[in-house]
Amino acid sequence: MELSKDITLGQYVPRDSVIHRLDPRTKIVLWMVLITVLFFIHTYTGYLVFALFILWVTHLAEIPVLYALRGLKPAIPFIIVLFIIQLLFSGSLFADSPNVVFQWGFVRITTDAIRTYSLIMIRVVLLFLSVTILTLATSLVGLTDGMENLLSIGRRIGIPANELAMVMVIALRFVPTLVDELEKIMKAQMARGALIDEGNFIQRTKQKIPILIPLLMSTFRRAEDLIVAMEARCYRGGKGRTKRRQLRLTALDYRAIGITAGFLVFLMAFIRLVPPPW
Amino acid sequence: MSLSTRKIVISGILGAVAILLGVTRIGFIPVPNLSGNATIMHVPAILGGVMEGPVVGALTGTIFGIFSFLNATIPLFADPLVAVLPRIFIGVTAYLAYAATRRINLVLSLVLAATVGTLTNTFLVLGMGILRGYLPAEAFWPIVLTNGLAEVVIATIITVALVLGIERARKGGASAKAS
Repeated sequence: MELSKDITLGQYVPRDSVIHRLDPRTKIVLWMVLITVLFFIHTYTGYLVFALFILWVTHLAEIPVLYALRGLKPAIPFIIVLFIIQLLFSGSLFADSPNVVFQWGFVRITTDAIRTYSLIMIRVVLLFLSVTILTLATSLVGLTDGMENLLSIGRRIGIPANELAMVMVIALRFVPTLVDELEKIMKAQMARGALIDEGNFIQRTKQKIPILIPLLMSTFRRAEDLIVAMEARCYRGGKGRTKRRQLRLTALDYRAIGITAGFLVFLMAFIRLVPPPW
Repeated sequence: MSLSTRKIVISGILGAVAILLGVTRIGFIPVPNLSGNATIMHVPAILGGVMEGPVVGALTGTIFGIFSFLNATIPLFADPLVAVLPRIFIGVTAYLAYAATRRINLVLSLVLAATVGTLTNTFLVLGMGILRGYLPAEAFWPIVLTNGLAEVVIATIITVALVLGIERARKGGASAKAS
């Protein structure tokens, strides 16, 4: 019963690569632009160009591609089953498509259906890879800082950026503490003869209760302590607060923005030049 | 919108509980169906909504969403529109169900809050999944009937037990702490 050993929060891999050194704001914004663009690509070759770009970024971040894709492994059977289900049951959606590959009863597989769903599968994999690269190459602190900074643009319309970031920081800060707490509670309850993970799902659910109630009790107690501590130190959100780590855009960031913009222009032109179906 | 220190701290800490349920796998209960697991990771969002109001519920749900997005092991949750957006509403709808029926009966209102909160999660996540093209529309009801209903039962048991337990301990706990 050692819970704390295999806890990975986020998936940050520390390196000293150009991608790691980028300002988190640059990474978040460029990443948002890229995944938005991903949804506007509808050709195999378009996805290929996008994939090459993402692989290049992965290479720059000094992260092995296989390592980045390892999270996809448990999902492969799921994706394949999904692909088959979609093909089998979507006949009605492609009723007027002439290119029937296979027909039996209500099952009607057309080349259009195959194309649509293979493109979705490719998009899912690319989306997954893009998300993974961002979280592998940006620390959670970096992500939070970046988000806070980006959100603060919306402060004028009443978005409490600092407060939202504080919620996130508190959540991340308390996970390890609560893991220790949970481990203690589970050991204590097991010592008293509590069963854990036995029986049917209703029984298993009931077995969680003697663990979760003490956990939440101590959680709320910690919360009350923290509230008092913060108020005693006059916490009042982000007003006039200074930071030790200042975010500053460097030449590297401008280069990244330039390169991404260049890539997007190229991608648009490429999609125009190589029309569907390829 | 301004947030009190209390709301910030409770949302953060309940968010930590949601993350904890995920990383330690304590929040997963094996059920005999296709997906194999029902989750109670959304229960902290329901608790936040019921015990501290819709804002805390929404924030706790958001943290749960961000976490499931960052740790996405299936492609469905690698899309923030599926992973984060629907989760914001769990605590809000749970709070509304609770507030509407609180005067009639406490246990009834908790059962409703847990049911509504859980179904919000199931419906919105599946709905977004279908809208974004990750799931075929035909999969909606089968998943709701197998996974969704099991999660409703589990979330109801846990939510009612937790809220009643915490309320009782808070009332009795005041004297215990003073001693």
